[in-house]
Amino acid sequence: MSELATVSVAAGDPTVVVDRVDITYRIYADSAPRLRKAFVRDRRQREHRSVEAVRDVSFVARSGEAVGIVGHNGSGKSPLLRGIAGLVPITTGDIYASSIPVLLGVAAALEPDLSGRRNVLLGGTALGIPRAELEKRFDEIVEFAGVEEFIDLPLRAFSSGMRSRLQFAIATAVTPEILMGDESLSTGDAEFKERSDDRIRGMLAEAGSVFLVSHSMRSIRDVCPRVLWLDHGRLVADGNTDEVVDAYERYMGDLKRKRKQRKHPPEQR
Amino acid sequence: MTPPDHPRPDTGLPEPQRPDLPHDLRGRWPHLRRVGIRLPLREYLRELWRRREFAITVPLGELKAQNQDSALGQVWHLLNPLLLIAVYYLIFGVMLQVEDRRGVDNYLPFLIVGVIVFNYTRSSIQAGARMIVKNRKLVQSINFPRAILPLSAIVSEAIAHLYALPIMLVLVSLVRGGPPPQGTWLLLVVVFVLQSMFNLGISMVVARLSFHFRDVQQLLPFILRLYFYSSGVLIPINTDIIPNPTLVTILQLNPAYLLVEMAREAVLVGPLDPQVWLLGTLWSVAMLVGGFWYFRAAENEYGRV
Repeated sequence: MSELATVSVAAGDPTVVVDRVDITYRIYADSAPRLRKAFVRDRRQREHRSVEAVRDVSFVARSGEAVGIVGHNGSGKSPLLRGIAGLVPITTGDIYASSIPVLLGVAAALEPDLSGRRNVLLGGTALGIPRAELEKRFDEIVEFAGVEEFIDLPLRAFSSGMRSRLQFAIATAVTPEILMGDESLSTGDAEFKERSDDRIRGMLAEAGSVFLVSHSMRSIRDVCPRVLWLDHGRLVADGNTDEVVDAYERYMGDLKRKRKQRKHPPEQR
Repeated sequence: MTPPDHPRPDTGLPEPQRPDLPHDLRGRWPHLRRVGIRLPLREYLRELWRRREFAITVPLGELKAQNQDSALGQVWHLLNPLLLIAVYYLIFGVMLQVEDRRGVDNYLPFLIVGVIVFNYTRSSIQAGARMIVKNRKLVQSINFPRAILPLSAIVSEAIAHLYALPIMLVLVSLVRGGPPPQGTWLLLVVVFVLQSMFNLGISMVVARLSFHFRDVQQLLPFILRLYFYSSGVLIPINTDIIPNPTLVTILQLNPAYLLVEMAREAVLVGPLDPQVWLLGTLWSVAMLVGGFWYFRAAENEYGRV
């Protein structure tokens, strides 16, 4: 769980160690698990398929480091993040972290019918921030999200941009040592993006770590000096952003060209 | 190992190597903690306590939203058991005449207490069964002690039950054959606490079971129906009605029967039977401890897709 009084990690010490991790999902082919199958001895008779979402991934992230994760859809980025955060069980391997990483996923805890005010309390307590602490920081959260005028309206009256700004503000109200964003860091308009990027950089200066999964190479380049590239669950590149993102973009561009060619083969005369 | 079915893309970069990790990892970096193992019990309970606000806010919002669209709104929470009582009274009291033929004195107050008290356990089990499955997204996004989910379901049902209890007492003292208000009514507080403990324990068991097997939710209405009939809600459990004495003893040892019986002894004029109260207390404590233990044993599994 997120310890609020974080252990002080010396700069350069590892915050996350991922050692030969596999995450395999057992997906039931077309039906939910049935009671009957629990009694079926022969395991082959169970109609599940294994999906190897993450395969043999190892890396070390150090404090003050912002790590981007890129890869095609279904390459295992989100399962990897959720595994590091301890939200989904890993199949083999070991993961160590200096504190439980906070995934920017407060959205799931919020209730559209409750007011923005209640939701700040709801989301904050879900993250384990004590009520007193939340009340102390309430104005700061609302101001950072820029939703002062709307805070007493039900959340469903918020625009999607305002909602994600509020989520970001709640999740980062108490600086987590390890923050993870799944396509949701740096949302909102240009002005908010600048402020949230500032906050992330501030966090990094306090020796935290940031993981960012994104399909936007721009936000990856903006925030992360280091990038992991996943392909079908495997780590295929790990290095500085310019090199890896360039290679990734080249590779994706090639794929796109190839697909186009398959669709419209160049006419042969 | 299965061979990789997709070729490694040509990155033009060196293949990442597994980092050189010290053999004694925790000794080298004592600040690192293993992810994905359960918290020790004391820390778990502390985390649970820290999020108590969350356990209360969720059900309050839900209670409000639940019946928002129906004309009678919140009133349905109370109307539901009352209509049930009316139906059972019509069938068992008026049509089958249990009062005269089976030697049940004052059937209506007996029925009112039975239905209201059993209803708390029934709805708790049903609410608990849905909690993990319904909140899958939440479980996959935020790290919190998962026990907070069944807990918040019970908080919600307990609030509803606290509205139903006074109405039950008013009804009981108004109908024919009901007792006047008396001191033993205060014992209902004890019954409420014990029953809440029992409900929390059993709903944790059902929450985990229905996470593993989705069929549980389909079966549940039937199991609960059977449980309802075998817990002496409608007809007392004794050898006048059930000829087999062994079966009577077994049914009288079942926790829902004991809780209903305790409430009846407290509210109606029945003498207090210490054996019933002792057994009821033992069941409640055992169910809470056992249910919590069983639920927590799968703590890290609940995020699985």
